[in-house]
Amino acid sequence: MSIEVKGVRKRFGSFVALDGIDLAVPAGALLALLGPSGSGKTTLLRIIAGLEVPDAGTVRHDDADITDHAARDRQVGFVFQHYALFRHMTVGDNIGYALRVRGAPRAEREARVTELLRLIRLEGIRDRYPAQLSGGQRQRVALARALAARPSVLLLDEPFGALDAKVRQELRQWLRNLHDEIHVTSVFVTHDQEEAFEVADYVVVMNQGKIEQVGTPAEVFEHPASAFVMDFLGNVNVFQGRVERGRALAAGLEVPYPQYPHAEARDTAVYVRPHELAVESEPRAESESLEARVVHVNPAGAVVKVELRTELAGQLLNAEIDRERFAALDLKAGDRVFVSPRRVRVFLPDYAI
Amino acid sequence: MTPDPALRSEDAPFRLQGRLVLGEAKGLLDSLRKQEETLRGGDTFPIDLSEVSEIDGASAAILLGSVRRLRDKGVTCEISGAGEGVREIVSLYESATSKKPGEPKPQTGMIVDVGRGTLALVLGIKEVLGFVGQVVIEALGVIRRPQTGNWRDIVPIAERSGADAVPIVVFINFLVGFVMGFQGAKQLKMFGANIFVADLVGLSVTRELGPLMTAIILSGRSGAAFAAELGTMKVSEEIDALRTLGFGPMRYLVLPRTLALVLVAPVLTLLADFVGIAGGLLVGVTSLNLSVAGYWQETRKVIHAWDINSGLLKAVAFALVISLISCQQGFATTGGAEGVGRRTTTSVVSSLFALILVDTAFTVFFRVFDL
Repeated sequence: MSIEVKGVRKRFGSFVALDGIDLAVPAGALLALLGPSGSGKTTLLRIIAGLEVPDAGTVRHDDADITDHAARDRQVGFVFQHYALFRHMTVGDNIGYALRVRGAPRAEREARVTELLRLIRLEGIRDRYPAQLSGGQRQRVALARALAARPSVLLLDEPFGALDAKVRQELRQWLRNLHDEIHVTSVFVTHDQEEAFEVADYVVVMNQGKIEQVGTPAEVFEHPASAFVMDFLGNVNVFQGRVERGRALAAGLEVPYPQYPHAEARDTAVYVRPHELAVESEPRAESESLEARVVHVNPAGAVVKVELRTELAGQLLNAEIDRERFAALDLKAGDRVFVSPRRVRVFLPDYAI
Repeated sequence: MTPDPALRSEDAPFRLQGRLVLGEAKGLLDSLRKQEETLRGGDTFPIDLSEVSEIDGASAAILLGSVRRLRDKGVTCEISGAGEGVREIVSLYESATSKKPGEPKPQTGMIVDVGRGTLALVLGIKEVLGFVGQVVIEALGVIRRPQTGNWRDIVPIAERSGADAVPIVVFINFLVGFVMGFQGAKQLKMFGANIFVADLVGLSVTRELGPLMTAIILSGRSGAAFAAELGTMKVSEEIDALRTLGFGPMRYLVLPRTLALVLVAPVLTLLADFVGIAGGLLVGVTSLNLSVAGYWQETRKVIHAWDINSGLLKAVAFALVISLISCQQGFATTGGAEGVGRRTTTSVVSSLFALILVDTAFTVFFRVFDL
């Protein structure tokens, strides 16, 4: 079932949580709402679920306007950040609960619970209580409970936020596989961009109650629509500078920027991703590289993260280089190096004359 | 230009010297940063400018930015000793940095406080009325379709709020009867009207003290428990989970609690009446030379069915008040474990307040209609 949100606004007192949201979720898609805390992503999810009533705007499922429907009439499954399992019920009762509410016969209920326990690969824990489970197990039980009544929409509110890194990684993969298996339209909220990119078909970046960008993970990462998205998607180096005549000038560097051919100079921030910053031991030609000193090296991980401080402005920079390059350069804290951006991004407000 | 921060003793001022100009700004910034890192809320950090001969805009801005960050952290930070020229520049920047634009100054003063308080009270009453309305609608829904109600939970809740409360209800009400009798005995003895202790205790216990003391115990035991249970479910999102799974939380949580309390309150009140009279009897027999049969006879003579029934009527009303207030408080809980504690306290205080109000209303009503 597809979901369509139109012109949704919501305020809490004087705080504007959602400021005119338009969003369409195609049927069967897995979509991530990504944004910092306070960006309104959870409020949007709760409005889709019917747990919150919007001040203005509509929510539609396929062609039906369900804005005024109560949560229980919406056929949604909701997974909460802190699981919200009923602690006085066994795992089996928790999962079968929605079916009991709907008056399903006992035999059908039991069969569905068994099926879901197999789906979440926890067949052996049917008679245990939530307190006896680990965090990852609880979250899977919560997911099974949300799926029990065969909802047409599955909503997840920071489902892995309270879990440790390893379990989180496993569950992400598992959620992706599960979605490929059952194909229910799903929306999940996260503040972790890696999680959003890894799991989702579409990513929606939100900020201050507005949508900044909607797109596939590749689109959003490769072509951030605004400075905010660029900033939010990972630590990025920002230089204050200007653009003019097809060049970007910042911190003594000069880089081609053919998107801005105009003669009139405009002040702007110039963004360089850490992996797009080349680190070399010899300087290039004048104004093509910056002299810097290595402050800190973090060699743990697939890429080596190097923290640098430019000699001229004292600005801290982050660079990521691969292991071979790192071995060749033999970097230590205090070394003198030269950095040059391979690619820069500039976000200019619309040019109005 | 600046002293080594390590040399600064606990409360000695942070002394700046010489010319604070653009060329030195980086050093100033670094040393202030270092200081900022070591300080936390509650510390004091006086800055002495008496030995600064010259300051420019850049340094003043850096200095005041640092002061503002420290004050935001809760550090007491005062600038002192600035000479004429230095003070002028600093105050120029102070006015520009101290006010954050766009943030209205919070209003204070008695009239504003009274206004806010009144508004909060009115909104609170509105919330409670809205809640009662929802409960009534849900109750009507259940009456129309009884199979949609949550009947399974009534018995366990009634057991917890009723049967488990019997010992404390018996104990407290026995003592209340006993104390009443004792206080009355001394006065009545002076007139030789010993036997009227039975009238005094019997009437006040059945009409007033039995229902009221029982309700107070219920609000402390069950009302607090309801608020805490529902509050915990609210903050752990279990109530939202119920809503998405298809059960209205009113129907599932509030109605069984209300019904259970309404069922047990009259029973406990009857028990309270009985042990209260027994308390008075003990006083009569031990210190007023009355016989058990005589005391009982007098009690039977003075108490009519309406005296007991009016008490039971009150008990039902009290149970409704306690249950609705505490469930409403539970549902209104926000802000984690701390919020649960706060709402539980509020629910008991509001219940006690409402109990006395309702009791007064009953008394006036009964008096006016001469019941």
